[in-house]
Parts: sequence; structure tokens; C-alpha cells
Amino acid sequence: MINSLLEGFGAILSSGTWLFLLGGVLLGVVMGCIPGLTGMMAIALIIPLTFYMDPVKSLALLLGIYNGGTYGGSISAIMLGTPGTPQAAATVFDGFPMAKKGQAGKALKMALIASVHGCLISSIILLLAAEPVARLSLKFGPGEYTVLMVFAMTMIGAVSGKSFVKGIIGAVLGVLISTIGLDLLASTPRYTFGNTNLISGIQLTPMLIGLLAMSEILSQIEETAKLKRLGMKDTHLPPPTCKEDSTVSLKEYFRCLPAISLSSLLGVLIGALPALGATIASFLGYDVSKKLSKHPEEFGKGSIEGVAGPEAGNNGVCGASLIPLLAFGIPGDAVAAVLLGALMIQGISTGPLIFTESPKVVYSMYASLISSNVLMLVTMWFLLPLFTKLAKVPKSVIYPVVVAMCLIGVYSINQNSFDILTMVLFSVLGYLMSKFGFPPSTLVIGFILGPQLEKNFRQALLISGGDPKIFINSPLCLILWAAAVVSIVTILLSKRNTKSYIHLAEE
Amino acid sequence: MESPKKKRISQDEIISCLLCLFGILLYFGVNPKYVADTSIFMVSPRLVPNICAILLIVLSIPLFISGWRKRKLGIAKTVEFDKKGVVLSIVTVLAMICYYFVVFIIGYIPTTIVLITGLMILLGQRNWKLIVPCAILIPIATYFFFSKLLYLTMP
Repeated sequence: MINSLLEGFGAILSSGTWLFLLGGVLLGVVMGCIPGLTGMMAIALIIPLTFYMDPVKSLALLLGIYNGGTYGGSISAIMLGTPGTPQAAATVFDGFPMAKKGQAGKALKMALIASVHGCLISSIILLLAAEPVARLSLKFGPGEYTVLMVFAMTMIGAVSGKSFVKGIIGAVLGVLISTIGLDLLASTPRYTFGNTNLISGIQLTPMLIGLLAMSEILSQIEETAKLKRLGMKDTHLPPPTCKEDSTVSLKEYFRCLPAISLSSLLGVLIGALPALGATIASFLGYDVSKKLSKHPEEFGKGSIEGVAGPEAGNNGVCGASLIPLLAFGIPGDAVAAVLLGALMIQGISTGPLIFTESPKVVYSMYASLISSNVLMLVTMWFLLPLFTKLAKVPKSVIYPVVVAMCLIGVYSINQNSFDILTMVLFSVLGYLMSKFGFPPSTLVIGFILGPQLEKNFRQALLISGGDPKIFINSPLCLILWAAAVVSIVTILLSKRNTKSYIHLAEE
Repeated sequence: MESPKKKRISQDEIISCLLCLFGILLYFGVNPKYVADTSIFMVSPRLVPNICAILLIVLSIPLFISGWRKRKLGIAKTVEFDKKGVVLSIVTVLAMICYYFVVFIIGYIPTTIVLITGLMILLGQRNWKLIVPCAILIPIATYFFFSKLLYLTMP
């Protein structure tokens, strides 16, 4: 393992791969810090470019974006009181009050330190746990895989916002859309309506860009017009009152270390289970920090531990969400689902065989994730003032540029104009879904998992001669069914707790 | 002062009815016509589409109940559409559709310059020192990147 990891680091340092990693981190932070844009959107936009890169470089770029995007949301959470990404929602509670006291620099640096800790711990656990878990998956047959996919679908609950039912409906629609094209086993056309462009099904990248990037742009355009009409203007934050307001002292670092460590481990546990997600990890990290703090009364008014906990929690998910992805081929959260799509485009099949068929790719992924933390810490420590300015770039400049990038990015994949229409259609669908409370990411998850779920489901039925007992026969199936039920209950309970945190914070 | 409670159907109730109708249409109308049935041990290309249709019908029930309960409690939310915002979003979508038709006739760089300029003005940007450089440099840079570095044939 050590030799393979060293080879992975060697692959990162050679051929300029580290430049792609650095570019990914910076792009992820840029996209994460601008409200309305997210790291997931950045990954979706960059995927067309990865067609032309080798797997190691493309994964370095995407993982850099993943890590940077998760941290980037904290910049606008602290500076503007608006989380750049949903995972940074809990950071607003204490980050923005700190900024209002002139301590924006301190908050940003603590968020950076906590994020790096979280992702580093998560990456090390990924390195140690992924392969043993993958060996376990060799005992899975089609029946077990089907139940595992059902369990994975429960992660819809983590990204489904307020309504779990709406999340499941979104996922079902995603599975339905994934059936468009030629049938996997019988090669008969399904929902092609005589259109040759649909024979190979809906292309993943135009759908991703339409649903995740363009639909969000349309929502933000509407929101911007509304704010202008209401006459809302940006207010300026006060400058730091002294030098200590812009930096983190060693005493403050050690004060936050217990919260950072425990929140990171919580984030790892949540990320490893394909059911929960970084947003829940950040709220749990906030809760844990408050319980561990010697001054819980400061929470909500600008406590540095209130920034450290959620940031360590949400970045703790980063590496751990790749454990089910690599071991089973099941993404641990919505961003990992998009990464799975990127891996599929590169022709890399995830699951237990990836460790024997593509070990170089696996260990370079580990090395990329670990190295991205070091790069992020070093670059962001000095570049933070620049990124805080980026969060304030006018939306009338950002959105048209992103629209133009989306259009050409989508065309560049297959040089097929039908992909542009697909993107436009899904952008309208995603916009309407968001409006009516159906998160578009649930449709993405259903679309990506749908083909695997259907393949394993039908294979299991063929093996059993149509007998559905194959899905409850083995102990593994029963354990997975129980885990699915537990995860649904956990998600529903945590949603209720999350609502109470938001009410408390608003009070 | 709170507005009085109005007895009207909530958005969730409407959506659940539409979903249920969609599921029924899919199961009885679309799937038999557009999805072949070649059953071997019940495993047919129509199996998963039919399951999805049934799930949509079944899931519309708790959605309807949730919407009905919220309406009775007076906490049902209605979707707010900002008129000007919706118009801007629609114009953006139409701009993308026009772009799709025009780009293959006029070419990538001029069409993209017009698109970026138009959208920036539509979104309220009036600083020409910002509009002109963005609208010109970005299409040229991306054209160079895709055609010279990635060897793609651009429109």
C-alpha cells in the first residue's frame, strides 16, 4: 500500500498533474464562494473537458474542485451571510456574526484550517478502509447489489430538502429517464419515439449541466431581479479592529481542536454511509462543537468554535463519500454521484475490480485528495483577500459567462447539436423542480444509479426464475434492508433536528 | 397583520394529482406503445418503467395528504414567481434556443459575443468598460482553447 501510495504521489508530481490539482482547487473555491454557483456545478461544467485528458489528470482536477468547492461555500457564508453551498449553511450561524464584528479574516482562516483537517482525516480513512470494504463487496450477488442500491437511494433523503417524498419522486423520475434508449438485455428501444438521437439514451453531461448548472442560473436570475425590485442593496462589513482579528492564534487553534477532531470523524462516518450527506454532517458538527465548548453561550453570536465544527464536519465527508463509490460503485453523496458519472465517461468501472484493474487510478485519487488539502491550505492562506472580493463580483457578469460556457461545453462533448437542446430542456425541468420543492440533484442520483439498479434487479430475477425471495434470502440482504430502514428514520429525525437548529439560530 | 386563511387547493395537491395522472398515462398509454414486452420469467424491458409508473402513482398519495394537511393547518406555501424575474429567465431560455439555431449559420465567435452582451444588458449591467472586454475576450479565448488546444471543430 505504501509503495502504491508513493507511486500515486509520483503520478501527481509528474507531467504537471499537480497543476491540474491546483487549478481544480482554485476553481472549486471560486465556484463555491460565489452564491448560486457550487462545486458540483463546477464538476458538471468541467466534465466535458475531461474527455480529452488522461484519467489521472482528470481525476486530480475533479477532486481538487470537490475539495475546494466544499470549502469555498464558507467564504460567502462568512462574508455575505449566504452559504455558497448547502453544506456551509451551519457556518453562517457564527461565521457571519464574526464578520460583523470585524473578525472576517479570523473566521475565514479557521474555516480553512478546519476544512483541511476534516478532509485530511477523511482521506486517510479512505486510504485504509476502501480496499477492505471492496473485498467485502465480492460476496455480493445481483440480489445483494439490488438491495444495496435501494439503500443507496435512501441517500436521496439527505439531499431532498424538506420533503423526503419529493426527493424519492425526483429519484424515480431519474430512474425513468435512465430507461430511455435501447434496453440493456433485450436491445429493444424504449421511449425513443423514432428519434435516432435517443437510441443511446439521454447523454449524462448535457443533463448534468442543464439540471445542476443552468437551472440554478435561471433561479438566480429570477432571485436577482426580485431583490433589485425590492431595492435590497449590499451592506459593507466593518474592517478588523486589530491585527488579531485577521488571524488565528495557537491558543484559539488548540481550543477548537477537540471540536475539529470529533466533527471530522462524524463527517467521515456520515460520508461513508451512502445515505446522509455533507449538509447533515455540518449541522451535526455544529451541535457537537457547542456541546464540547466551554462557552456554549457564545454560539450564534460569533464563536470561533461555531465555525470550526461545521467546516470540519462537511469536509470530513469528502474522502469518506468515495469509500462506497470505489468499493461498491455507489456514490456517498450527490457530488460523488457526479464524480461517478465522470469516472464512467473515462471508461473506469467502479466497484471491487477497480483495485485490480486500475490501481494506478485509485492510488492517484488518494494522493490527489491528500495533496489537495496541502495545496488548498498554502494557496488559500495567502489568496483569501482575493477570493473574498470574488464573492462580490456582479451577477450580471458571472451568469452570462457561465451560460456561454455551458453551451459550448455541452456541444464540445459529441459535437452534436441535440445535446444543446437536451441541456436547455433539463435546465427548464430543473428550474421548475426547484421551484416546487423537488431538488434536481435527486433526479441526477436516480439517473446515475438507475441502470445499475435495473441491471442487478433483472439479473437477480433471471437467476431466481422470477422468484422475488432472492432479495431477502441472504443475511447480507436482510442487513441491508435493516440499514435502509434505519437510515430513513435517521434522516427523517435529523431533518426535524435541523429545522429546530434553524429556528434557534433565527431566534 | 396576517392575511386570512384561504380555502384553495395547495400546490402540493395539484402536483400530486398531475403526478398520479402522469403515472396512469405512462402505465396504460405510453409504456404499452413505446416499450416492447419480451418477457422471460417476468423480466421484461417494460418491468422497470412499469414499476416507476406505479411508484409515481403511489407516491402521489402521501404528497397529496401532506399538501391537504398543510392547507388545513393554514401553513401551505405557494410558489412565488417574481414576474420580472420569470420574464428574464424565459428570455434567457429563448436566447439559448436562438443561439442553438443561429450559431451554426453565423459562427461561434459573433454569436457568443451577441449572447454575452445581450444577457449582461438584460441583467442590468450598464458599464461598457466591463461588457465589451468580457463579451469579446471570453468567446475568443474559448474558441482558441477548444479549436487549437483540443482540436475540436467549432461552429
